[in-house]
Amino acid sequence: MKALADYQSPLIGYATTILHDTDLARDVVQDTFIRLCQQNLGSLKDHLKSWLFTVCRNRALDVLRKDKRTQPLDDIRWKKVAGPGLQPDEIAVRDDLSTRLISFLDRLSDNQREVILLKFQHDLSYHEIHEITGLTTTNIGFLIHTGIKRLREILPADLRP
Amino acid sequence: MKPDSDDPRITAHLLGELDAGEVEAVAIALAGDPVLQQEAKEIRDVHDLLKGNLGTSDETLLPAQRENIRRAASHRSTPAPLASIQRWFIPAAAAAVLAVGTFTFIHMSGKMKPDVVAAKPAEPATVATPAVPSSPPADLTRPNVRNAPLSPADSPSLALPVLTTRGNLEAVSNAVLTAGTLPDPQSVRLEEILNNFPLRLTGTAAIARGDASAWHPDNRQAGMSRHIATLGTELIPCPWKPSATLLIISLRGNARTDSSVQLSYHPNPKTVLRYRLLGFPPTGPTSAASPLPDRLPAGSFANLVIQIEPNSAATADLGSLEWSADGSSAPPVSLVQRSAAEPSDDARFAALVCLYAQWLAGAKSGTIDQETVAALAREISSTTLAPERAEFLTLVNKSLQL
Repeated sequence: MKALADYQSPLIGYATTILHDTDLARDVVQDTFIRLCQQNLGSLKDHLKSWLFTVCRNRALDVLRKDKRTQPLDDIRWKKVAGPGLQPDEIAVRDDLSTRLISFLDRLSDNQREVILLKFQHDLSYHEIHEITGLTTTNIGFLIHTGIKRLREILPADLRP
Repeated sequence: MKPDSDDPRITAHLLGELDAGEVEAVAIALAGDPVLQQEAKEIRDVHDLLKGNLGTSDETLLPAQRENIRRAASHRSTPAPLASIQRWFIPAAAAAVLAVGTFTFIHMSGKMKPDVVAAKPAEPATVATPAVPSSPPADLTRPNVRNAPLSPADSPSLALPVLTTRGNLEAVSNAVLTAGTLPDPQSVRLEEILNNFPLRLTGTAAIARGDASAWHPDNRQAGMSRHIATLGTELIPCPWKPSATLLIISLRGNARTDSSVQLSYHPNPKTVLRYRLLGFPPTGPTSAASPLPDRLPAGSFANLVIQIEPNSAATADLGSLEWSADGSSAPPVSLVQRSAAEPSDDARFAALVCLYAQWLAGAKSGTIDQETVAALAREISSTTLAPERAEFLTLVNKSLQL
C-alpha cells in the first residue's frame, strides 16, 4: 500500500503534535488508514494527502477531547529524520536547530503554529490546509504571513538567517 | 490594491500561492519598492530556515498495526452504506422470521433457545443450557465497577463483577423498534446487552469443581456432578481498535445450584500497556461498602469483555484470570494469544454487541462509527444465525437507519 509507505511517518508526526503521545498517534494513524481502506479510493485519488491529514486530525482531536493529556511535549515529540548522508555531528546540529525552532513555534498561536507546520513541514498548499483545518485560504495566508513575521521578531540572533 | 509589508500576499507570492491575476500585481509592486523587496527577502529567509530545518517524524507504525491495515485492505469490499446492509439483512431477517415467528428477544424471561450455529467446539459436557433469571436482585443492577483505562503498574489486578442482568436490551429495542429513535446514550448498558447472548468461546476454559471426594464421573449424567461453574475465554483482535485485543469471558453456572464466583484479571505487566473493562458506567461513589456482584444463579451465565492494549505486536502472554467458586480456588486461565487462531463466531458476535453498544453510547475510541458497525454486522450475518442473534442484527440494522 503505497499511501501507507508515503504518509505513515508524516501523519504520526502530525498526530503527535496534537496528542503529545506517540503511541496514541500511532493508533490514530492506524485508524486513519483503516478508514482509508473503507473508502472508494477512486474518489480520493486527487486529494488523498489532504484526506489523510483531515481524518488523522479529526481522529486525533476526538482522542484529545476524550483523553486529555498533560504530558509535556519536550521528551516525546519532534523526533527528527536527519536524512541520509549526514554525519553524526551534522545530525546533532540539525536536531538541535530543529528543536530550538520548534520551541519558538510554540510561542505562536495554535492556529499559526498548525498552518506553518502543515505548510513547511508537510508541504501542503493553502487549499489543502483549508480542506484539513476548515480555515479559509485567506485566513491561512494571513496566519502564515503574520506567523513568519512574528517568528522573525522572536528568533534569537544566532537563529536568524 | 498595492501591497504593503503587512500584506499576506507578499508571503503567498513567495510560496507560489497567489492567483494568477495577483501574481503580476505583486511582482510589479515588489520590483518598484525597495522596502517591499527587503520585507520579501526577510520573509524568504525565515521560509528557507523553516523549510530546511523542520524535520519530520521518523516514527512508523508497529508491525501489527501495519498488518491490521493490510488485512483491512485485503478484506475491503464496497463501502458500507445502508443500502448494502439490506443484502445481508434479508437472509438474516428471513431466518429469524422462519425460525421463530413468535420469538421476542426483548422478553427472554424463559429459557434461551440453544444456538443453532454449532460450528464451534462445544464447552465441556457439564455446561447446561443456560437459563437467565427473569429479574435480578436490585442490588446487582448497578455495581460500581472500575471501567476506566488501567495500567498494570497502577492496577496489577482487576476484580470483575459477575453480573447477570440484561434488561437494557429491552429498553434499547423499545426505543429503536417501537419508538423509532436511538436511545439516550447515557442509558445504554453494554454489559447488560451482552448478557443476552450465551457464548461458546473457543479459547482456554476451566471448570470449578466442588469437593473432589464427593465428585464422581459416574454421576455426571444424573446431574449430580460437583461442577460449580465453567469459565470460557477467547482472545480476538479488537475490531474498532486493531492494535488492541479483546478478552471475552463467559461464566456459566451449574444447571441446578446457585454459586458464588470471584473472578479477577491479572495483566502481564511486561506485555500489557493498559486495559479496560467494557461497559459498567459508574453510577455512584465507589466504596468498599458496595461489593461486586458475585452470585451466579443456577443455569445462568455472565459475559464480560476486557479491551487490552499490548505494548508490542509480538505480545503473546497477556496475563491470567484467577477465580474461585463457592470459596474454592479454581484453575487459573492463562491468556495466551495465538496469532494464527481465527476468532470464533461467538466471539465475533460478542465483539459486534460491544461495538454496537459503544456506538449507541457515543464512544469515540478507535473506529467506533456507523460504518464499522455495519461492516462487522454484515460480516456476521448468516442464514444459519440463531434467532436471537438474527433479531439482534435486525435491531442493529434499524439503528443504523435512524
